[in-house]
Amino acid sequence: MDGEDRQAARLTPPELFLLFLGISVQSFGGTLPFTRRALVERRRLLSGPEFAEMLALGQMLPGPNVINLSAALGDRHAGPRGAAAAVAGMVVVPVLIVMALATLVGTVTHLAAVQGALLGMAAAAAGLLLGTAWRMAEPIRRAPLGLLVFAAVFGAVALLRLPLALVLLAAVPLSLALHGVFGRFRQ
Amino acid sequence: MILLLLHVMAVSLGLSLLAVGGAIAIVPEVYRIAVVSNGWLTPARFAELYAISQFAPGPNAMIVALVGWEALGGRFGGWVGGLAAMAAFVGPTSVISVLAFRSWAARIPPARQVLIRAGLLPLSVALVASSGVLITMSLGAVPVVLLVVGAVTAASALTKAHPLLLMAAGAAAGAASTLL
Repeated sequence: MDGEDRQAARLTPPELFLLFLGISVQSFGGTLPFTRRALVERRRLLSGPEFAEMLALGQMLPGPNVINLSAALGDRHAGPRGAAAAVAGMVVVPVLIVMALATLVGTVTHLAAVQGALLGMAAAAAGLLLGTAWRMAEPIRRAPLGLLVFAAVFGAVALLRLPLALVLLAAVPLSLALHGVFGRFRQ
Repeated sequence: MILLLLHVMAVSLGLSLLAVGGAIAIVPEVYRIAVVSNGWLTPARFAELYAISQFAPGPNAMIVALVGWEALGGRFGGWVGGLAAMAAFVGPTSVISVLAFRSWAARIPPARQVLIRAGLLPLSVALVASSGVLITMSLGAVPVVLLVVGAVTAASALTKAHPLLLMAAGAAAGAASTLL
């Protein structure tokens, strides 16, 4: 019964491409809420907890979280071709749109008002990053260990401008060890 | 030209492997490699392209495509560069993701998953905050920049204002400042 249900709900690579294309082109200011709404609420391909779990696993792997999730979901439905179709749906059209946008903006950058607007937009983008960091930091604002790791990495990257690979090579194992990831668990 | 394209793809691949906790985390490294090490673009142009990338739909990593586009000189070569950079950015990590999800990811005990996320969170926060600081610094300490950065930081941290609305407000403030 359960097996039949899943068989019926299996998407083909073209369907996966269109599904993720639809999600990506309406994702302004972050893909996460749009992906969740499409996969969980509209298409019911995943339950809420399943989505949260896949996203969390995606966050532990290198690469964009939502793209990791799309690849895994595409693979679950149609194997490697499904994964490729889902990821392509997520990125190809947005890349074309962003390059078209940059080209268009390039034709008017000699105007002082456009230069000013771009400067203001870039400043707003920086503000959005700082605001996002503040929101993301909710769980660690009162955690000394988290603040310590935050301060060390922020200092190394933003102030000392050290290469990220070196910083991560030192900071990832250290932070995981400090948070007790390598400890033994008792059932 | 071909060598430059391969270089851009290799850089994108390297960046994707460093994107722990999301693509937004690699902005400081994109800046360091593209602006400081290779001189593909100026600090101000980087900030400009980052702003444009935020105005387009899609995943957060569009700055990687725009850096590839700019490094290959815009126009036709640029379009190839942008698509190639993005393919190198998402291809290999997607393969890793598929293999990891198939074999081990779901088998990590939930308690340990919680600890891993707790351990990675301060790193992600630090990288996102660093991105904000680096972009601000690349724009120069102009009054309108500091004003907009401060106002948008507060608005996005404390209210539910839509990011695009805040970007539009920033653009309006910047355009108005040139008329004064």
